[in-house]
Amino acid sequence: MSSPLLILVFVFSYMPLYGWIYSFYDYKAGRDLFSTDFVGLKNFKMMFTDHYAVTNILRVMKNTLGMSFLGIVTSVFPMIFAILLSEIRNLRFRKTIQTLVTIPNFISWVLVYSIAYAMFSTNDGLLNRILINNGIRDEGINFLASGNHVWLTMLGYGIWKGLGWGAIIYIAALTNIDAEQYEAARIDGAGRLKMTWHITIPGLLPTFFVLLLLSIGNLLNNGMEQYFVFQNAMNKDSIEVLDLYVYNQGMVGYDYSFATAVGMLKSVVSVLLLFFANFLSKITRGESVM
Amino acid sequence: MIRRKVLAFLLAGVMLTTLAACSGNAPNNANSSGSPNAGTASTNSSKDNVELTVLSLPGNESGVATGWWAEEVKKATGVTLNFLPTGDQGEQKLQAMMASGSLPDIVVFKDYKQVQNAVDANMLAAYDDYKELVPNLYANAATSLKYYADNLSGGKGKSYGVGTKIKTDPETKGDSGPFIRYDLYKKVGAPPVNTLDDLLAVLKKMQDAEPTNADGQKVYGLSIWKDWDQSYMTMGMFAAPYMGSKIPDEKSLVEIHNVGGESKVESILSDDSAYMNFLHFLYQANQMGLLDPDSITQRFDDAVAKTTAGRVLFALDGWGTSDFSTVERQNQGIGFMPLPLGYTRTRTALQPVGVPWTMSVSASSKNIEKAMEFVNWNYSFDAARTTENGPKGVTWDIDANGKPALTQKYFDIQQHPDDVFADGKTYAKGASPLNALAFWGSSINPEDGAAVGNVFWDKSPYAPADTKLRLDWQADYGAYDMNSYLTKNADKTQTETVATYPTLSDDMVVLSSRIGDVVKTNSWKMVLAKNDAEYNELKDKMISDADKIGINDFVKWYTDEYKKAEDLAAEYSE
Repeated sequence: MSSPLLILVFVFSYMPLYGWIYSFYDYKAGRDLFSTDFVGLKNFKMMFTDHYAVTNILRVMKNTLGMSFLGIVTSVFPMIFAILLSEIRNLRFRKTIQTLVTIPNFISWVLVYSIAYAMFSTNDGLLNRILINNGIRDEGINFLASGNHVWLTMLGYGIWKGLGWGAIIYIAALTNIDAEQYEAARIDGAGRLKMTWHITIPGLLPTFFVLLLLSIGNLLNNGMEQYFVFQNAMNKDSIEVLDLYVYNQGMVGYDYSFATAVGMLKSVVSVLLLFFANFLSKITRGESVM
Repeated sequence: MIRRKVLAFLLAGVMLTTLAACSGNAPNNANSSGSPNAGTASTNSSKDNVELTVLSLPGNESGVATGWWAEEVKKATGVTLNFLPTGDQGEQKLQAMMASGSLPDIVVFKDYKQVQNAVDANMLAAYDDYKELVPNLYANAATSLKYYADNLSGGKGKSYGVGTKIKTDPETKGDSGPFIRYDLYKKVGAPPVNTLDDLLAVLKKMQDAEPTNADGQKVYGLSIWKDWDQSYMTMGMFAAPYMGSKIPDEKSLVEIHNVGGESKVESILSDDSAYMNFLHFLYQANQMGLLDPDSITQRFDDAVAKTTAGRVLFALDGWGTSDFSTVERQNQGIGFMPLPLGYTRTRTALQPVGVPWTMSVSASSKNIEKAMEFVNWNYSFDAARTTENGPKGVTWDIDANGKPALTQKYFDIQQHPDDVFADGKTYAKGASPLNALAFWGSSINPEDGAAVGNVFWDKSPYAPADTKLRLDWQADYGAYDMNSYLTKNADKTQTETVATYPTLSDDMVVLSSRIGDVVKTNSWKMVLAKNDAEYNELKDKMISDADKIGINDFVKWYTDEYKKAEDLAAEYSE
């Protein structure tokens, strides 16, 4: 029964591990792997001994974990949004809001950058024009080339883009909560806030934790494009996450083997995050997923 | 049980996320040579139209080429060219294609290292194997082919590429940057510009004289971009020749100074290097509000659009300046003209081998013969003239004396640059997106003894008088244009000793990139620094970090190899 699934897992999850072999060779794009020099653990040694590499890896690990952590902390937002949405009585208004908030999910990060550039660029950005035209400032603020609060602004873009989409499953889960519970609560005199706190939220929590665990896998999977389009010299120190660093080392820096070795670090980060989420699940619900 | 499955699923997810390089298929081209059936292949195929995919790293446009140039290509070779986007990710795209084991039909590389890598990976077709298909190439670019066969074939002795912008005759006419908004420069008194500080002062005055353009948008002294940055801020490469040195390519962290026929290689980070001076210039420009603050976030296209809209006062090269300096504006005395700086100016040597921008045909192309036909066309003098001056018989033609001459139509277009010229596009928009002209404009076609570019041709009798702007400039500098000015003032110029550069080794590419990571990031930070203290702090950090990673090793390696390249260049320059 499960063999097709196992085959899929093998093909898509275990076969790619073959790629790790590149970290042991001095690989150059285009050449046959086995015609390049075998360098053994050189790239791994470099990760831990070369001063420049070590500082960079520590920096990008900090960025990766920091931004991932912020992502996890804010992963309750879609749930809250779904609950608030369900409290809107006017159906047409609710649908409109939901549609508007869901649309950004379908915009690629490249386009998001164009929109951000149109909004925030120093010369012609909408925001700076408003500030200047109203005499609030003489010179525009260069929002996109600022290293300040990059984690938060990146989080902001992420939430703007993902909130509506993330809420969809919660909205589905809401309909699954037994209406009799609400009726019983109403008879017992519970208000809307009480009902939300004692019925809706506990009803959504299992969904929340499943999604949380899945999103942790995705955080590292899809973690590059956004930072890639927004990176520049001024914010690079704080925006460069592990995925982007691997890309910058391998594709921009022509050092595939070292990049592969660093890429393996992702497994370490993923496992750390996974245990963290599992721990959260354990202390809040008393049951763990693993 | 369920727990196990979830665990397996999650673990699988974790593993998927790791950088998985695909093993790729080895290019099936080991014996692409053989003897192609040239005769039948070309006669049959030239009738039906074939679409070829092109990756041109120096190019800036993508999509299927349309406009007059594309029409000419189709007419001559039956080829439609589909350009892959390159922009600021061209190098990475090339890397990905290399790793996947096949390249698009035609590739224009940016440096010798990229060519060498592709040759080592057996990904290019040798021109030698298709000699019958490329007679023009062998007739007109033989020296370049020999250079590639001798030095860039991995010992195979075949030409897998050919240089572009082959320059066999010195240029004595034409304009070259830097360009300044000449009307405003004159308006503020046209003070001589001997130092970068002079330049800043004059740009400031110009900006004050015209703070906004006609649409009320803010005007900046200069507007730059980071699209082409590799190991340092590439704008420095364009600025260096105006300050008497030369940075060979985007990956080499050295400057070459030519003094009295002797060349000297030094680090771009050394004291008083053109690069460091340029960074300080940009920093001061930013402090004075002259530098477009969007420089670090915008793209090349954005900056060009700003120049075209009259929002930029100074440009290192012609990007967007001619779109602003229309004949109509020039006749009112408005527009960009070149600015002779007080520095010793470095001019490029003759380049019989061409520049490292290299045109190659992919070994995995399904239409190698067609691609060869295109290359053959591109390396004919007629095609080079067409690419440079427009379609033969329309904008130029061979006159009664057997010499090329511009037609009335050419001058009409200059008067009406916005009119649709061919294929739904204007003349300017229909030009070649390849950005890899086979011959430099000054190169002479041996058949008629005239050059490729029309600036070197005899003036047509019906050519309109020079614009007011140019007449002003000519009166001020006593020369027809920038190159004739430099030729007249030979004491202000220095010609580089060689026109060929070392091919970086694999180690040097990686080293350059590791140093470059530090250099380009800190360079931009220095430019945008808040005050001198921050500027100096960043500068010290950049230099000490670059030292630690090993910039001196790079400079030493390059110095040794450059000496060898000098000797080599002598062999190919007769």
